[in-house]
Amino acid sequence: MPEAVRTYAFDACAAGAENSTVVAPGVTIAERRPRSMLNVRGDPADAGLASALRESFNVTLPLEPNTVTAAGATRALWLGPDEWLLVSERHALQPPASPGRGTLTDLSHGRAVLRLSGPDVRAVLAKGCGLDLHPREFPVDRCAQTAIAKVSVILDHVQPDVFDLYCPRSYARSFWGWVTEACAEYGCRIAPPAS
Amino acid sequence: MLSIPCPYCGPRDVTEFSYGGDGNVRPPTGPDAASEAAWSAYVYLRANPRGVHEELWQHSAGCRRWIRVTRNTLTHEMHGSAPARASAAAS
Ligand SMILES: [Zn+2]
Repeated sequence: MPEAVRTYAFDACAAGAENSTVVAPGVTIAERRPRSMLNVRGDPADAGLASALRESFNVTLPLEPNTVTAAGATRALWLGPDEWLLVSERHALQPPASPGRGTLTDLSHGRAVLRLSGPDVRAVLAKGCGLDLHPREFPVDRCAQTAIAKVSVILDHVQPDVFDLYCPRSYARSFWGWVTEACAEYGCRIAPPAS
Repeated sequence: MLSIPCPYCGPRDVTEFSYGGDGNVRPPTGPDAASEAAWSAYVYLRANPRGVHEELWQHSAGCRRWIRVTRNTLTHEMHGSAPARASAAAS
């Protein structure tokens, strides 16, 4: 059986728009293509779930709200007191067979991801998002589910001035329109997808 | 814009929340014994206080948890919040 072809929601938006020639851009936009995303639901006190996640992915779930733990190329994002998102750059995460009393659901195709970086990235996000993104309030390895330009987005502060924006893939085209317009005044480079 | 304190996520814009109504309305106990008037009151009748009000909100664009918020309906002052589940179990 032929392997299913994976399609990416921002492909059609970015096609022909790549402009690596922009000098000293305020913001660089690149689609990010994580290999897999798993939604985890469960009791943070469930030892069975914790050990299954440790054995399968070497991941410890963050218990502090809106924080991220990183293990190699896998990030675990706090989404709620009993909900997390595991994102792996390169590995296809296979849900463990017995995750204690928890539930793991593969949502890899559910969201499209943009990576915004550069000195003006917080000024761009401030146009559509009510959160205080100053590094004092929203440092690296902090995440939030919020609304940006009225689209429900998971925001992940990956490195200083580097943010990943997870948006529902059916909103990708509309969200792309808002992001590129919001970035335009700062000088915006559209880079090839980062896998 | 109102800023609602989510007990998990901290202060967030009201646009991230859905309103869940009066936090202290409970269905009549004993569904067979309760009168039609008691059920009618439970479904339709609400106080409209001018001042401190305990109400339910869902952080629908955030952590999606139901929370219980104490808000002054006159001044919009926020007097704190708690997870709805924990506060329901305690009362
Ligand atoms: Zn919340």
